[in-house]
Parts: sequence; structure tokens; C-alpha cells
Amino acid sequence: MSRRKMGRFALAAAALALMPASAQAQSCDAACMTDLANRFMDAMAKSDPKGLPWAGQVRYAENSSKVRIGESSWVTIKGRAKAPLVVADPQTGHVVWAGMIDDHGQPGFYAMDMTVTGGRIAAVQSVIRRKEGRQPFGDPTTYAPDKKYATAVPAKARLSRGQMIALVDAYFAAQETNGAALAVGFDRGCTLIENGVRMTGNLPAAAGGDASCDAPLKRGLWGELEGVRHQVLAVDEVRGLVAAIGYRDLTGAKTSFTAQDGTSYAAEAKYPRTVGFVSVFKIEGGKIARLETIANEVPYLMSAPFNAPVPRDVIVEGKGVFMESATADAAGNLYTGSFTGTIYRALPGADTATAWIRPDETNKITAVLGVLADDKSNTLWACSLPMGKPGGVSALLAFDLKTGVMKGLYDMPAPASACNDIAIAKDGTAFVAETTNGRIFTLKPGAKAVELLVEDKALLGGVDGIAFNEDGTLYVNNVRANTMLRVNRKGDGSFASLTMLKVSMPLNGPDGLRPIGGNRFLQAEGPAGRISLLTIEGDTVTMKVLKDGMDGVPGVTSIGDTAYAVESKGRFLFDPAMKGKDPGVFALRAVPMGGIR
Amino acid sequence: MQSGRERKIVRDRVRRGNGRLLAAAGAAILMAMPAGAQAPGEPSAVNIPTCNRACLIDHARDYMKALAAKKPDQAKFARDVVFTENNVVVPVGKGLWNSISKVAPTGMEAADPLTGQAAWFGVVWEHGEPAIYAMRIHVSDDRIDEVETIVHRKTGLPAPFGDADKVTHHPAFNEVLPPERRVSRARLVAMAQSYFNTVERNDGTVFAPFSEDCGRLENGISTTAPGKGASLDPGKSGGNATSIASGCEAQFKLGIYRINKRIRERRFPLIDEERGVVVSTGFFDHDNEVITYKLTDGREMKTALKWPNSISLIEAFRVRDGKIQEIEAVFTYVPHFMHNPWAKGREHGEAGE
Repeated sequence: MSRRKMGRFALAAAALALMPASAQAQSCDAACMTDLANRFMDAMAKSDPKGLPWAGQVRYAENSSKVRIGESSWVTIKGRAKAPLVVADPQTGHVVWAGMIDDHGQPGFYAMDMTVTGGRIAAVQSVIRRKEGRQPFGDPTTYAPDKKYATAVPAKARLSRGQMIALVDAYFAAQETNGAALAVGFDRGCTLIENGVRMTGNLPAAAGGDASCDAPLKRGLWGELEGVRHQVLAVDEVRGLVAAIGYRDLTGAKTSFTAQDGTSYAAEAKYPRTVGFVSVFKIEGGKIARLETIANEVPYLMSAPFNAPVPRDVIVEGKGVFMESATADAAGNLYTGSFTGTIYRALPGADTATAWIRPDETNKITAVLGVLADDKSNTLWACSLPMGKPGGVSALLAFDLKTGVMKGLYDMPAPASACNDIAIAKDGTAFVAETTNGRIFTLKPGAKAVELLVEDKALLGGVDGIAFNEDGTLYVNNVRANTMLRVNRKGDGSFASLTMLKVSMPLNGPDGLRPIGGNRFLQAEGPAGRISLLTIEGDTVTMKVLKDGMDGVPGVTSIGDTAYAVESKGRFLFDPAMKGKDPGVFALRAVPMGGIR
Repeated sequence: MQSGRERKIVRDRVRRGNGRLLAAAGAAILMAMPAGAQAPGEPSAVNIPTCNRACLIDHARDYMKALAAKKPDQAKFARDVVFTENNVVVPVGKGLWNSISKVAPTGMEAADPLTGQAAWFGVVWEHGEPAIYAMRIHVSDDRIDEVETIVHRKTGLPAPFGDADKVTHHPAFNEVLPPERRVSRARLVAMAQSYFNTVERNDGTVFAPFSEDCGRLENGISTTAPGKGASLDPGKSGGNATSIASGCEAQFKLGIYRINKRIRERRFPLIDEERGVVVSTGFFDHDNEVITYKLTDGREMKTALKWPNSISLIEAFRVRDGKIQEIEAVFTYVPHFMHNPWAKGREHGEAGE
């Protein structure tokens, strides 16, 4: 097996481990996770890792350097805070612990991110700040997380999980742009604390007012920052807490910077450096109410310790391929359908996707829109579009997932139609979005023909992407109307109603929609040339762009923590001005979904 | 010695990151060996250097000039050059390239035409603040395709730091030895290894042969010349061992360096038989499981720090008559057990864990 093949095969194998914990039936609740974190700290203070529930393979890092359990701080730390700040999140499987430690009696700051899988400790990474070195460094012995962190937020003042994460993402985006992209509100009393010291930007605050959370952003005091790399780890909706880990990169290129009010400030240091951090945000009433951080300097541009190698694109072999959709099976095979009617497949880890199912007299394919791998029924579903055949009906096709042999063809009922994409319910029923006439069809296991679930030209005319969340709720998007909807069904599965969802960003041609566990989805937007991570809570969709700037992206799929965006270059097909010009190589663009680069 | 193909694989791995690719890279190297190879990893029995010592030193000087000018385009880089700073892969043009304001006019230079590598040890300034610096470059087809650097800055951690304007490199590193005073490449590596073996868990046992006049420059300051006032607390002596004892062998016989749990990822990329020079890289791991220890004369020492850390180093040895005559090292603190992306593992003959 080549290195590349090993790569995506490993990704597929790791897919289960990388799924949100909720999808894995996390057997350890928040109290259990908190207990594990405290027990880990106690075990470290006793230099005795025996007796902890370790996973089969455990990853461990201190200050971004991979070390062995039982070595490093396991031989120097002799005590830990008895009232630490702990944020446990069974949904993500992460628990964050922050507080004081002592090395042979010398106090320091310690923050730890533990990954718990099936009640076992699978990974731990920590940011540890000891006394020696540069500011800021306060007094760990008197440090205690603010009391606000322990109190529950009144129900009316809470945000949903997705909104809380979006707020934290927006904070770091504002930090990175030195306040230029400030889309975050702060509570009046919000203060920045780093290693027990009140801060303003990178510098210890001279006065109490300087330490407010908004001052560095409004005044432009993050002028030294080159970038912020971060990852949200854990959310506690009741207490309004979000814990994140990350890095602030500082180039050391300038000795001073000018804030937005024209004042010049000396840089905190004159050399390139990176600051690793764990931050815990308190969010209340839609605003950031408190931010406490433990941070430590590491070599410039140090990478996160557990990152997988950067995934590579998969090239689709052929000219004028013009893919529309993609899917992946549990083994790590990638499939993509194209307007030429050919379905391409990339074997696990392969560099390229090659033609696998071609149009023939049996399948009568002229163009393929949606494709969906269904491991449970060993089926590759595909939507066939009668391209170039005015008045033709489209069809749902079923192929053997292993051999590619056709095993079913199900026409969409007249009139002329566009079978566009497919989702599979827990009972194996296929749900099909038919774009032209605003219809959703179902095909029950063993059925000979599709049945109409709903037709609504007003709301569903343009229905495109279709997907279930983990609890079986059905969602669709509308490529024409730039909307997202929930398809409400009755207890017997029949149609009940449609609910328009509120999306956090304007949509531009929403297309392929794929579930990735829990209430999270990947969504492609063709004209926008981007793929996004969606979190749907109630009627709200929180959207986070993963990658944009691509040349038309009608589809997306994922393997493990890598999304593959279908870069269709459709303008070379549909734009008369571009017809005949060379579109170049076609590829499924690999985009990391998580972790820190 | 690495073949060009093998080096490219290593560069690819360094660029993309370690981890899962390690095993794959090893496998790829084996596959890359053509039939009839002369030795593992060597595609040809012929290795005639095309860039001699003067050529390599010129490359090193050109690199330092380009660095001082903050103009990467003035350095002769290969298209796929890989640059590391303190063991992190950094895009050329970033890191020290962004902060440098001056390079010392002279440095300690070394070169090895057989492996196509050169080194430069000295002082640089970042916005006027001095930093101690060492680098290794590899030259292939007249282009620099590897740059490995260590930069030691004043960060408040206890370590030797010389007076930047007074750093003097021992001239012996640049002096050709008469043939009868030289030793072989293998023996030069053995000398360096014996030094590291002595440092590791230094308990008074000396494995390395030192000349009587042996001296050592660490981060631009002598750490073997007689010191100014004794202190058994390295925190108060700035980490300079001269406060306890002077002379290479005497210090080790006292067991001053007991703090070093292991000398890890030892590499010896550059050897100059004519001058008796070997340039090595590695890490000193200080686990600080204990924070006091006794010298062999019974005196009690305190460790400089109470928590685990590693020191990443580039260290050059000058060997004359089979004995270590002079040592020059540049090192800096890094997170404990950090790895060097250029290290390839024990299967390639690297020593240590």
C-alpha cells in the first residue's frame, strides 16, 4: 500500500474516533468526565498512571511536545488545585481542566484538554506555564477562576451551543484582524486574565480599565499578531462556558505597532514566537462576560501535537469531467458523479479517482447528479438526469457498492424532473430531492417505485441538498431560493409541514448537504465556491465556512476529519463565454475539518 | 550518508510533518533503492563531490548575507528548500528572516563536501537585540535545499549567553591538521558520541578523551575557563558551570551535568577529517525528577529549573591527536522531549532514544 493509500485508509479507520462523541453513544457524562480529569491530575501528582482507565492507544503532549505518560511533568508535579475550572462536554468528548500545579513546591499554571472515548482517556494535551520566562505570570497560589464560571446562566440569557461556538470563533477572528472584524459583544465587566494577570492585548494591563475584553480589539492592541489558530473543545450551555485551545503566532517583524487611535506601542518582544493557550469563555446574554487564559511560549509556528498530515486532493482522471456530487463509504472509497454520466471511484488512499460506472444501455445514464454510498444495504445510490433530453424524467439508480453492477432503476414520476440528491433514513428508506418540481420522494426497502412525500413548488421548487441528522430529523436546502428547511414528519413518517430555518450567514446556491454526526452537517454552495460546517439547533443554523475561493462547489463529502469538496468548474460547462476553454484538472479538494494547523 | 532521493523523501517528510508518515517514508526509501546499490540508501557507488569546502563555505556566507539583508531571494535556494528554526518547519522568509537586523562579521565555519553540508556558528541581532545562532545547510546541484537553525534568545530562562560583541571562535576549527594528527570520519563521530555518553547521566565517569587544553564555548561564552566566584546554584550562575569547576574533564569528573537524563536524537551531519571537526545535533533532556544532587566531591547542587525541559543543540567538536580539543555549542530551551524534524530515527544509525 502506498503512502497515500495508507493515509486515507487510516483516515477512514479513524473516522469513528473522530466523530462527535454523541454519535458514539458517549458512556461518560459530564460528572464522569470531570472525575476523570481530576483523577488524571491526582495520578500525575503521585507519579502513578496505574489505575486510570486508559484507552488502547493514548496520545499525550505537554506544551505541544508529545511525551510519555509517566515522564515529563509526571515526575515533577507534586500537587494541584483543589478547586480547578473544569468544562466537560460529553458531546465533543473533551474535558478541559485549568488551575494551579506545583513542581517540587514551585507553583505554576496548568490547563489540560482530555479526550474521553467510551469512558476511557484517549488523549491529553496540556499548556503549562512555569515561573521562569517572560510576562505575564501572576501568582498561581492565589489564582482562582472567577466565581461567574461556577454559576448557571438564566435560561433566557443562554445561547445555543452553535451560537456560543460561533461567538468564540468570532472573538478569535476579531483578535486576528486586530479588531477590524469585530462582531462580538462584551459584558461591561468582562476582563481578560492570562496566567493570573489582567491583560490588554499581549501586554499586562497598566490599569483596570485597560483589562476590559473589548479594549484591545477596539483600540487595536493586538497589532503584533500574525494569526490565531484555535479549536473549540468543550461547551457547557448551562454555565455558558466555552473552552478552546490554540496558538497565537507573532512574527517579531516589528518593534512597535500603531493602535487604531494612532498611539504607538512597543512590541511585547523582538523575536518571532508562538504562544500556546487554553482559554475559557463565560458567555451570558449573548455576550462574552469573562475570558481566562493559561498560556505558554513555544517555538515560532509550533504545530499542534496530534495533527494528522495535511490531506491531499484527489484528482479525477478524465477530461471535461464536471462532477456534481460526492460520497464516501465506510471503507474510505470516494465516489463522485459527473455531468458526463460517469461515476468515478477513488480507492482508499488513492491519489486519483478513475471511471468506475459508465453510461450504457442498461443504466441509460446521461448525467449524474447526487451519489450516496449506503453501506448498510451495500448500495451506491445515484440520481440520473436526462441531460439534453427535453421532457425526460430523471431516475434514481441503485448499484452494488462493491461491484458497481446495477441493481435497480426507479423513475421519478412525470413531469420532467431533476432527481438531485439522496438521503437514507434509519430504516433504509431512500429520500430523494427532486429539484424541478419541488418534490421529495421516498423509496422504501424492497419497493418497486418511489412514492411522493411532499410537493411544494413555492418552498421546495429548487430543493437540492437533503440529509438526516442523528435523531432522524430531515433537512433540505433550496438552491434557487437560498434557504434551508426542516421537513417535519408525523409519527408514521408521513409529511407534516415545512419550517424555514434561520441561517447565520447569507447562502449562495446551497447544494450538497451531508451529515457528519449529531446535528452537524457539511454543506456545499456552488456559486459561492465554498463548503461550510453547519450546526442546526431548533430553527437556527450556525454556519462556519471551512474553505472558500474554489471554482464552483456543488457537492461535498467527508472521510474522518477531512472534507472533500467537489470542485466542478461548472462555469466551463454552462457559461457560454467559457465553453470550449480548458477547465484544467478536476479534483476533490481535501479540507481539514478539525484540529489546528 | 544519504542519497539525493533519500534526502528528498526526508525533506518531504519534514515539510508535511512526522507521525504516521515515518514508517511509510522508511518503506519508501527501501523501495527507492535501485538494484545493485552499493550500500543501504546509496544508489551509486560513485560519490564525487561537486561542491568543495570553499564552495560550501561560500554558500554558507551567501546565506548569512541574504539573511542579514532579509532577502531570501538573494540566497541560492532550491525550489523545494526546507527551513527549520528551533525544530519547527517555517516558511523561508519568516522566523528569524523577519526579525534579523545584523549578523556578526565572522563565525565559526565548517563544511563537509562528502555530504554537501556546511555550518555557521555565531551571533545575530534581532532589532538590535543579540541572539546566539547556529545553522546547517545542505547543498545539492549548487542550490541550498536544507536549512536547519537554532536561535537562542534572552527569554529569562537560565542559560549561558555571551557578550555578543566579544564572542571569539577558536581558530582551531579552521586549521588543517597534519595527517598524523587526524582521525577517521568514524572515529570523529565516536569522539562526539563519547562526549554525549559522558554528559548523559554524568556521574563522574568520563568516556571521552579530552586534551589538557580542552575548552568549550557555549552560547558565545566559555563554560570551561576559570570562573568568577563559585555558586552551586545554577540559577544564580546563569547556568555557567565555570562557577563550580573549570576544564572539560574536571567538570565531568565532578559530575556537574548529572541533570541530563538522556542525550537524544544525536546526529552527525557534517564531518571534516582534515580539520578534525564534527558537527552534531541533539537534545539534552532534563527531566528534573530530582532537583538536588551531589557532586562526586560530596557538594550538593541544585538544578536550575524544577520542571522538565529539553535543550536543543548544534554542537561542534574539534579533535586533535584522538582527543577533544575544543567544543563550540549553540543551544536553546524547547518544550521537553521535542523532536527534530530532520531526525530520521535509529534505523538510520541515530543514537539515543
